[in-house]
Amino acid sequence: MTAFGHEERVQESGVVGHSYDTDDRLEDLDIYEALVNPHDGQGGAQRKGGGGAPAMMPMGNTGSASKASGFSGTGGAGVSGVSGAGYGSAGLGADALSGVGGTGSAGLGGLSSGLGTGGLGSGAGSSWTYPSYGTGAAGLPDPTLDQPGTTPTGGFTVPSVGTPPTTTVPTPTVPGTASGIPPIKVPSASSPGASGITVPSAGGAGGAASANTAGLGVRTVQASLEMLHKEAQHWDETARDFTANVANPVGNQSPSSVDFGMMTDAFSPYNDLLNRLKKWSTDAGAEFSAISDALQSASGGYKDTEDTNTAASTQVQTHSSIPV
Amino acid sequence: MTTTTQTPMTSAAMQSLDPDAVRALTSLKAACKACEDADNSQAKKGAEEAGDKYDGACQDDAKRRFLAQGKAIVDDMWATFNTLQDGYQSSLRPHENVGPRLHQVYTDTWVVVGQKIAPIASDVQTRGQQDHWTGAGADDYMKQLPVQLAALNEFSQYVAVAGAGVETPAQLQQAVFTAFVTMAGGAAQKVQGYAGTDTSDHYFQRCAWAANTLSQCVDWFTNNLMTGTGTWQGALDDHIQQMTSTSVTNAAVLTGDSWPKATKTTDTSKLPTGTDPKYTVPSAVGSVGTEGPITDRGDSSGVSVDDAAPQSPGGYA
Repeated sequence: MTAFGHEERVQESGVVGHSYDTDDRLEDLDIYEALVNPHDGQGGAQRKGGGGAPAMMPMGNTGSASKASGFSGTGGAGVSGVSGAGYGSAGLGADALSGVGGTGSAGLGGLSSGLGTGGLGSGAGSSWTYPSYGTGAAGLPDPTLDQPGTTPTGGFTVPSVGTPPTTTVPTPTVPGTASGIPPIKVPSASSPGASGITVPSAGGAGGAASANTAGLGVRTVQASLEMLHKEAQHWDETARDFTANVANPVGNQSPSSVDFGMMTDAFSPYNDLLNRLKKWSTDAGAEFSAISDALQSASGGYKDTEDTNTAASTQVQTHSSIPV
Repeated sequence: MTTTTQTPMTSAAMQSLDPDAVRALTSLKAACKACEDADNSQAKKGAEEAGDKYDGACQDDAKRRFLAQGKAIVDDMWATFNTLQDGYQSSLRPHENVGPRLHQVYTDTWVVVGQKIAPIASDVQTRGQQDHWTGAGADDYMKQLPVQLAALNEFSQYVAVAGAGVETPAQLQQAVFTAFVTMAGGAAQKVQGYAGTDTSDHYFQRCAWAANTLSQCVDWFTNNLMTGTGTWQGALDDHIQQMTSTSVTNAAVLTGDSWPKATKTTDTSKLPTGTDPKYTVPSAVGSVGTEGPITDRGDSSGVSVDDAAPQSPGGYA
């Protein structure tokens, strides 16, 4: 909790975020959350701490809105999340939070009634933005291999949803203390009457954050948890459909040369092709399932990270005091 | 990417042509019998004429010789007919269900599978236009969709090739039956025509003509239709050549006989853009079955009364 009543949300430390090598940038730029894809070619480990935790929602928007003071200076229009800023601004008397997404209009549906719960909610239109290193993501990974540095054997490599290595999830500590999250250097005041946290955009537009981080190759990512889940379900249905209507009928074929009568010579090339088709169809069904699993894992990963962030922000709130 | 593979034929129902072949053989047999009856009827007159012509002890011999020569012609006709019929029974008839069954595999499996793939491919293509997820991960995800789509398209092409893999042999096998039916039916008509022909003083001429026609049928059946020489073998060779061509054996997307993995390491930059079909129905397939032996009645003159003349050294006059 800041002196201004803003609740601070932090990224999962040890995963990404405000590490020592980005502090300077944070000094100059808005605080942002970076996505580090553990499945890119280098792996999270080489990124000094593994995959980053994406901001599942505009940080700073958790907690009690009723305690917020008019940070943004835009009046009581609500709480404006700020993509990539890391610290959102809480509006006065907000009843609703304007989410920060690609459009900034969708909003975090769950927040109006779920402040402090950290949930993206399941409401349609939920969205969140988070910056990511532009070269980091590598697609959807095999969930079972969702560790930095591993090479997926199948499925999309998942864009790092910030799923942290289980051993590196730290307990958020008060900035400036010994371990855990490195001290976050907050830019000097650039918002009138504010805590010194620069808010790239008070309007909740993700585009602003993108602009601020563009120089670092950071880009904004927008995803809908629900749609991601639906996408996974879609592929699962495709896998089942393909298996039932393609792989199985093909697999059931077992011709012999006798079946070709006088055209026996035609059997061999047909059988060769049939065997290839059997393998392809089996592989395809498995691949579609793997894609589904990867997407499902990704959506779960987002949710998990969000929950982790929520928990972390709660602890920060408890300990208070990010220096400003 | 849309690629096409020419599918062999329409999926019209295909049935065993054995009943048609049997009918043709039955007609041919009836025609031969008509020739035999006509010749035997005419031969009575010839036998009497031979008896009248050669008096004395030679009279009976002359009649016997006359009739024996006629019987040889008739027997030859039937022997040739039986050869043809037996050839059908032993060599061709066992394959009567090959065409229909292969065709059923084509219609019930490959056509259906091809139809099932189409909406899946279309769906994947549609997903490539999703916009509810953006960012790095989405980009990489979206980058893989064309690969999966291309794989589905190529798989679909191979399904069509597999369909051709059974349908073309089915058509060819069926064409063999069609050719036999055509041949036997045509021979029956010809022989029937011989039966009604006035042969004047040429006895057993009809059966001789029939035997000659049947002999040509047997030769063609044995040496061409059953071996494929000059008939279906060329089309089959063309079919096999296509089935084993590099366009079939070397997949463009499904390389290594594996379905492409949707991983970052998958090369998404080399998707095929060509639309060349992997298989084209051999043009000769359509003409097989319409061919048949060019038969004629030959130059036999049957048996004449003069042929019954004594041939001993003492000589009959």
